Amino acid sequence: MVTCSRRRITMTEIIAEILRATIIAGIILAGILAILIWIKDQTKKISYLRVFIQIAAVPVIFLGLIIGPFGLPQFPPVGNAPRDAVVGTNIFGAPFPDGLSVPVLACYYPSGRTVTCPIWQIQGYIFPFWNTGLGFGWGVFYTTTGLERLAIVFGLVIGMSIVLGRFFCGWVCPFGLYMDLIIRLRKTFKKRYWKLSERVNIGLRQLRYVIIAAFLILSFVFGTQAIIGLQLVPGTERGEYVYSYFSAPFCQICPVKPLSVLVESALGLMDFTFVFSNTKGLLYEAGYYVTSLNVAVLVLVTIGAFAFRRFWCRICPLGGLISIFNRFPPFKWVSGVRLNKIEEKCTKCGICKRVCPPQVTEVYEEKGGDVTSPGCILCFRCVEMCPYENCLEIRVAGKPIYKSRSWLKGLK
Amino acid sequence: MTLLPEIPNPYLASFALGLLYGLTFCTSVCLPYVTSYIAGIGAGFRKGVIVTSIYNSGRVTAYALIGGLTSLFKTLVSDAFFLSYQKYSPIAFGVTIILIGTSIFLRKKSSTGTCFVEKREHLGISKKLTQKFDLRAFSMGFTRGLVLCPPLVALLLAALTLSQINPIVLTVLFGLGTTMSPLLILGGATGWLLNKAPLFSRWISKIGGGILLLLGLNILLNTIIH
Repeated sequence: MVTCSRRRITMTEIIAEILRATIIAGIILAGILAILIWIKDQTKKISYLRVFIQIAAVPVIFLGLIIGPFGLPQFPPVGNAPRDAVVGTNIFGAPFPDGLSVPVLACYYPSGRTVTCPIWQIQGYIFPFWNTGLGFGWGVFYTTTGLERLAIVFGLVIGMSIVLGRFFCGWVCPFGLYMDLIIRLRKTFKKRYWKLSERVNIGLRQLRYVIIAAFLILSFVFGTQAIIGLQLVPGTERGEYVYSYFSAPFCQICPVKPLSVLVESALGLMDFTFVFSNTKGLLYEAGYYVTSLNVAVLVLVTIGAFAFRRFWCRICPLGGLISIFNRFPPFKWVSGVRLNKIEEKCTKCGICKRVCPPQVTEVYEEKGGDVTSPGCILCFRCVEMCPYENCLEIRVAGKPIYKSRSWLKGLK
Repeated sequence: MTLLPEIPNPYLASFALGLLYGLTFCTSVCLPYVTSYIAGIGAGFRKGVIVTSIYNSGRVTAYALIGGLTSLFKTLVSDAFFLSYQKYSPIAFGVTIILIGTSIFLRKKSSTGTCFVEKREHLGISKKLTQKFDLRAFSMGFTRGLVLCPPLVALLLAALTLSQINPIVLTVLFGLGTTMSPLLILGGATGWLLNKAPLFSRWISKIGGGILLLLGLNILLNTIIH
């Protein structure tokens, strides 16, 4: 006789399934929509190409370049993540379970990840880098020392920042896509966005550096716990998950974390029930990985994004970090992607200023030549919308690859 | 008796101990004070490094003083003496931090800000005169150095038992070892990053001063209560 026992499906599992289906359906629909609009209105094709790349980057970032599965995750309750044998686990011949540092805001929790957020890696490795040797840490097994890991992370971030700059913000970052989707949602309701005053906008851009300084100092201070066992945050017992996580202070307020957990749960990389049923006391009321502050900041940023285009990108510390490396004098001269302006062709119509999502004014104000600024996310929107032939151009390694066209002539 | 079993020379061992401590404990303990002060005075990278160096020189001076006093009053100094000394030594540091924090918090304009530079140029004050030795950073380091850390106590006790060891050299070498820490670069990096946000300079200064004030009060209250 065959007995069949039916497992009871919990409410959380149903929500997880609905969320999973919604996100996958959303991605597919966004892709179809992008194709349809692209076919209809070819004057704006670079924007739709950008949306395509942004959407395509999401599964690449979260699923990774899967050639596996080659091994089980070292923390099985979180989910059965396939491990990537190409880059996720091997770098310079040594296993590197945290994945490559790509300057995009996207957490990836299960071990064997392909790409991950450098902000987390810098905070996690920087202090005490000499004390984090081989062995278990952050739920994974390391065969590289803390110093080697730090060198790999900084090497990758600096290298990519020099070559591509904030191209990552405009074309790859999943949180940038989230901001752009909110803009598109606003457009469908035919609501106009608001504009921040220039002073506030510059203030937000400067605030990025204050955030970087704050999280670096705090990660050092909280890192003390790892060295001398000082309990700086109550309830963070030595060896506990929350204990080690406080040495990454920015991650406690990062708005991307709740979204990443949702996407990973939806893609089946994380066990949704496990994540949201394991609360850890102080600040961790919302779940195992997500703090209440994460959720609060995400809500605020989402509201902000409804009002102002690319709201988060103006204060993003990762964007600030890329700008620092990209604009630093020795690296500045070898930077790969630049925005160039030919002054003689500019009539100061101000379209570039109006269409710029993070409200960068340098393209309009500066006389000519290289007009790439630390606030520019290299979305190429200004080049696309500039109505004067060859006035603005994108240069890759000094060679123009995309130029503005006199699209006004074609309009009737 | 040896300080470190791996290094037989006591002076070299003292320096190595300082180096080890400077990389770990000293950085995390001194960082909140130094960076808050750097934020408070609105220093850039260069000044940040200078301030951190002055702070460290204050610490080394305090260690030299402690070493000197130990060698002078060898008969009076004991294990019990260090215990009672450690109990009250943070008071001076706490008071200094409170005073510095209050002065920064209540100041109207940043002394390194544009307004001051303009005023200095207007009054014809030479640059050399205004770039004087930062006494506040030195006093902060000096009083912090007077708060004995466990390895320094161990060094002093070792110096007391071994007559051939000079306590001043031992403590100074330990202090010099601690100065070779990431603190120097971090101080400069903090100043450099915060200087990239001139619109917030007033607020950063207030926050820096406020944090110093709170840290000082915390030290003072903890010392009095315990």
